[in-house]
Amino acid sequence: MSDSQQHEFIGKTVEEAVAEAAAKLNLAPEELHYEVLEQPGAFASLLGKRARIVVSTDNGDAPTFSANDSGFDPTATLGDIARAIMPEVEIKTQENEDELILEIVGDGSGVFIGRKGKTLEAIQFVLLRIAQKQGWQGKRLIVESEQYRERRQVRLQERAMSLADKALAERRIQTTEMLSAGERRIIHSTLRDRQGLTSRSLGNGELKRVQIIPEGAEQRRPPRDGGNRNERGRGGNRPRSGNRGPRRDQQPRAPRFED
Amino acid sequence: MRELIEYIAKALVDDPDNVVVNEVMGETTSVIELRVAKDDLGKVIGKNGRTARAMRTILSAASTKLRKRAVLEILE
Repeated sequence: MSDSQQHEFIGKTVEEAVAEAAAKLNLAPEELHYEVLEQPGAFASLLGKRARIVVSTDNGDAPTFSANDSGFDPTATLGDIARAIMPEVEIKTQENEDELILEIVGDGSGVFIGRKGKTLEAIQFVLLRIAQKQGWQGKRLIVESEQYRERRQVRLQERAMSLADKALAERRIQTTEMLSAGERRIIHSTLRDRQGLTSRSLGNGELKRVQIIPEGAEQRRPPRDGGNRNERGRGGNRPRSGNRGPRRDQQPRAPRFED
Repeated sequence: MRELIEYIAKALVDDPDNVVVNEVMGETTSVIELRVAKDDLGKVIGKNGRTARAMRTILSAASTKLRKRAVLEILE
């Protein structure tokens, strides 16, 4: 992504940083010209100290890799956090167009997922916070474990589609359960290409519901208690009470004109 | 556990040299006390306490492995 010919790499040890650089730049370790910027001491990895090297590439070819100039290494940082929960873990990475998916491979006990994905959410949140702080400009970081997100995504997509079907069939607004920002994103992007409806988040706070609104139903008030039966009655009564109003105004005014 | 909190806190604050973490061991519960520079307090707490909550969640995941409860306290 960067056109400069110098790239910084970080690892727990200098050897690890070199190996990382070699892999990212598609070169053999012996072919690299590098300079050590920082040497970690003992116990350094837990204190966030890392080996830092800067690599110069001879040819002008800009290597393609997803790290950026900030020197933040999401894989290493996530590994450090995950190892505090369970010492024997491995972080596998996988990239697509706009995401870098970091998978924590543990013992399959779901310890990194937690109830309703709470632990996974917390790990991802902290990792994103650190990434933000360290100036990460790369792809969106996704923390995954035991296909939890993948399964959850499939479930949410199915739910979005079935609510959309229902909204269109009944011509009524459908509302999801309380969802986190990432989950709402899945709903919205699933429905982006569906004709004849829009989706909108509803509420305040971290968790919100998503409304799925068929065309023509936008004007209606969101049913707060599902009280659809009232909607005619409510709309019909108001103008009448509104019409009564002016009468009171006219009476006091009338004497004035006679004066 | 102490190291975990220290690692995360140091990575989040502007002033990592002023991050101090103590672990007060009890029989079944240990209390992890986190102190940071005044200006960094918001960074370890987060909007609506979200960062603090995330750290507590990670801490409790870590403590299930050790069969010991750990509580995070952020001290001013």
